[in-house]
Amino acid sequence: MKRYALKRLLLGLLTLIGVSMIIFVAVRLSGDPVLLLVSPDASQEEIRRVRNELGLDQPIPVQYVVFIRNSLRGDFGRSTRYRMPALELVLKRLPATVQLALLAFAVSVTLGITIGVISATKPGSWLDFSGKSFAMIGQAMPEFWIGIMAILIFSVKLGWLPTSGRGGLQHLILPSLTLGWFSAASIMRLTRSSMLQVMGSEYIKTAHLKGNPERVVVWRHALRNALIPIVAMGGMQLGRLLGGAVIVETIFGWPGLGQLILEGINTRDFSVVQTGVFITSTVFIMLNLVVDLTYGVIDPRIRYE
Amino acid sequence: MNRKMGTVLIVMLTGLAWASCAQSASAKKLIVATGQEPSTIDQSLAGVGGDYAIVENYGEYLMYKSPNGDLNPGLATSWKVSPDGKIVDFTLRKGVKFHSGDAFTAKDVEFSFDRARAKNQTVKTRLRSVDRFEIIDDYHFKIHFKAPDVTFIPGRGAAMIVSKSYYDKVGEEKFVRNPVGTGPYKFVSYTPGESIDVERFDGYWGEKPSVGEARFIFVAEDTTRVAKLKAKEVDMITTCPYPLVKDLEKTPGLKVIRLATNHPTPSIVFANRNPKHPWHDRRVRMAMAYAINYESILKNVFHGIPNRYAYLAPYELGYDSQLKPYTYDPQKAKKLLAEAGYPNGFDFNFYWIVTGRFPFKEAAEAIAAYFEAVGIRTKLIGEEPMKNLSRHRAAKAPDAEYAGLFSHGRAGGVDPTQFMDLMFSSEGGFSVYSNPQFDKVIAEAKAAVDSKKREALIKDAVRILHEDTASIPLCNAVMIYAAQKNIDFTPTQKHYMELVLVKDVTIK
Repeated sequence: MKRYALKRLLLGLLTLIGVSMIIFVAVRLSGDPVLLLVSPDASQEEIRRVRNELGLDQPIPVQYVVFIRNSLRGDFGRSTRYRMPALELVLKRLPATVQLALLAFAVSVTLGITIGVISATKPGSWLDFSGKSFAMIGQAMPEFWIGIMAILIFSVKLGWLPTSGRGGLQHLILPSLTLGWFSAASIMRLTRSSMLQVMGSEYIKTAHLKGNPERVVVWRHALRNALIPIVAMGGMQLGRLLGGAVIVETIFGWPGLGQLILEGINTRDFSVVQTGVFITSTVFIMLNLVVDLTYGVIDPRIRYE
Repeated sequence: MNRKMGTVLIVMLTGLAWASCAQSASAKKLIVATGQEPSTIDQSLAGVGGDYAIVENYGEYLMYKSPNGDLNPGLATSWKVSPDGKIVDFTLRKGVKFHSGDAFTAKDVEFSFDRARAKNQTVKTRLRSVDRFEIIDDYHFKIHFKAPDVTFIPGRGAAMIVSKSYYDKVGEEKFVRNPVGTGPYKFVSYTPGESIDVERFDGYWGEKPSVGEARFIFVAEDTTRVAKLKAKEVDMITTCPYPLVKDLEKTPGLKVIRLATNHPTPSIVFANRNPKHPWHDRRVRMAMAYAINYESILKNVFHGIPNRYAYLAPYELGYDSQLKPYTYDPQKAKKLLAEAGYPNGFDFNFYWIVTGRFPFKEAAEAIAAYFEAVGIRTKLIGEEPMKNLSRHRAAKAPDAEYAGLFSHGRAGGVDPTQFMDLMFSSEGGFSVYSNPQFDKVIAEAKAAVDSKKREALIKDAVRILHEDTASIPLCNAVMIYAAQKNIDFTPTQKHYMELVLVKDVTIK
C-alpha cells in the first residue's frame, strides 16, 4: 500500500509541475497586460518602466524560473488589481470553493449512488424511470439555468432559502444542489449500469443462496464490487466541481476561487491566475490522492500493484 | 427507502426549517447590492466607475457636490481663480476632523495630491497641468498651474482628501487596508469578494445623515441581484439590467429610480488615419450615420431607457439646441456611398466589446443589419474587453484598421472639454480619431478660462465633430436603481457616474 501511495504522490507532483508550465505560458499568450495597466496617454518610458517592474521584459523561460524560485519561498507575486499578495487572496477565497465543491460532491455521491442502486435493483419499474429522468434532466439542463430557476422558485417565490452569498447552512443548500446535480446524474448512470452488471454475477448468486437478506446482498456485496468505476468517476467529477464551480459561484454570489480566477483573466492579472490555478491543481491532486487510496481500501487487489 | 436516503432528507428538511427563520434585511442597517466590486477602497487609488459609488461615502473632494449636481463649499469654503487661470487660491474649512481624529489642514491636501498623482493614473492625467503647491498657512493654499485647466474646478480637484497625520502614524499597509476620510460615513470593514461596511461619523463637519449603518454587497450576476431585491434581502440595488426595468416598475412594493448620467455614449468610432479604409472619407462615415435606424434600436434594444443627444446634454456649457442628431435615411446613405466611390458598398470588419453592462451584442447586430441594407457587407467581431481595449489603444497607428462599437464619451463630463480632449483629440487617451482643425479649436477651448469664450469655442468644436462624423453616437446612458418602496433616494445629478451616497437615502 505504501509503494502505491508513494507512486501516486510522485505522479501528482509531476502533474503539478506540468500544470504550472502550461498556465504560465497560456496566460502570457493573451496579449500585453502592460498597456492596460498604464494610463491611456503613458509615454514609452513609462510603459517600459512598468514592464520592467513586473518582470515582463524577460524571456518567458527566465520569467518561469523566477516564478518557481519565488514560489518556493512562498512569494507568488502581487495581484495588479487588488494590490495584495496573490497567495493571500487565493488562500482567502479557497475555503469557500472547497466547501462548495466538497458539499456538492457529497450530494452528488449520495444522491447518485442511492438513486443508481435503487434503479438497478428494480429495473423497468417507475422508480427506475424516475431515476433515469433525474439523470437526464440533470445532464441536459445548463447549470446557470438550474441556478437561476432555483433562486426564483425557492428564494423569491417561496422565500424558503436565501438567494445568494455565503452564510450559514441555508446558504449552502441551493448552490451545492445546483452544482451537484450534473455530477449526481453521471454517477447515477454509472452506478446503475455497474450494479446491473455486478448483480448478474456468480458470487451474487452465491450470496443469495447463502440466505443473506436482499439489503445485505445489494449494499454490502454488490455495491462494493461495483464501486471501482464509480470511484474513478467520482474523482473526475471532483475535479470538475472544484474547477467548474465558477458559474454557480457567479450566480449565487459565492465568494470563491473560480470567480477570482475568472476576474483575473478578464483583467490580465497574471499572478492571480497563475496562483489560483496552481493552488486549485494542488488541492485537486491531493483530493485525487485520497480517491486513489480509496481504491486500495475497496479493492484489496490494487494494494499490491 | 433506506437509512442513508432518510438521513439526507432529514438534514435537508432541518436546513429548510432553519432557513425560514433568518431572512429579511435588518431595518436599521441599509443594505445595497452593487453590480461591481470596487477595484480599491483607498481614496487615492479610486479610478474606475465602480470605485466611487462606495468610496465617496467616506472620502471627499475639496468641493462638495450636492444631490442636484451643483458645486458647493465643502472642505474648501471658497476658491478664487486668477484672471489668467494659472493660480487658484483656496480657503479651507476650519475644525474638520478625519475619522481617525486627526485635524484637517492644508498639508493634508498637498499630501493627498502627491499621493494620488504618484499612485493613480487617472488622477495623474487630470492633474497634468499642476505645477506646484504653495501652502500659505494651515487653512490657505494656492495651486500654481503650468497652463490653465478649465476641468480642475468642476472636477473638484481630481484627488480625494486623505490624512497625512494618519498615514505617518500607521504606515502604508494599514493606511491602505483601513482608509480614513472626512465624509459623513466612516469605513468599517471590507471583505474582498463580499461586502464593505460603513457607519455614520458623528464628528462630520456637515449635515448629519439619517441612516446609521450601511453595507454594500457585491452581486455580479444581474438576475441574482434583482432576485435579492424581490426577496427583500436587500434595500436597494444598482445597475438594473434594462430588460428587467419594466418588470420592476410593475412590481408592487418596489420602486425604480432613473439617473441620467448621459455617459457613456455608446458610439461607432472610426480610426480615420489610414487612407486605405473607406471610412477615411467623411462621406462614408456620414453615409453610415444615415444608414442606422436609431429610434428602433433605442426602443427595441435599449428598451427606450437611454437619452439621445446630438452631442451635449441640455444643462451643459455650450449646449447647442440647433444641433440635431443624425437621422435615419438609407437612400441618402446609398447616395453618399456612391459619391465617395462605393456604389456597391464595401466589406467591413465591425468590432464590438463583449460586455454585460450594455446590450452591445444586440446593438451591434442591429447596426450590422442596417449596414447590410445599404450595401456594406458587415462582419461582426466581438472581443472581450481587454482585447478590445488593446486594439482601441493601438488604433492611433497610421496603418491600423479599426472601426467598432465602443463605450465612448461625449456628454456628462465635468466640463465638455474633458471628453472632447480624451475621446477626439489626436493624442487623446481614448481617441482613435484625428483632425488637426479640431485639435486647434479644442486646445483653445481648454485654455479659455472665461466661460462665454469657452462656450463659443465648444460650440465650434462640436460642429466640427458633427459635420465630420467623427463618431456615430447611439444614445446617452441612463442608470437604473431599484429599491424597496420604503426607501427614498436622490442620486447625485449632473454626474457621469452612478453614486450611492448613503447620506441621500432615507428609510421610511
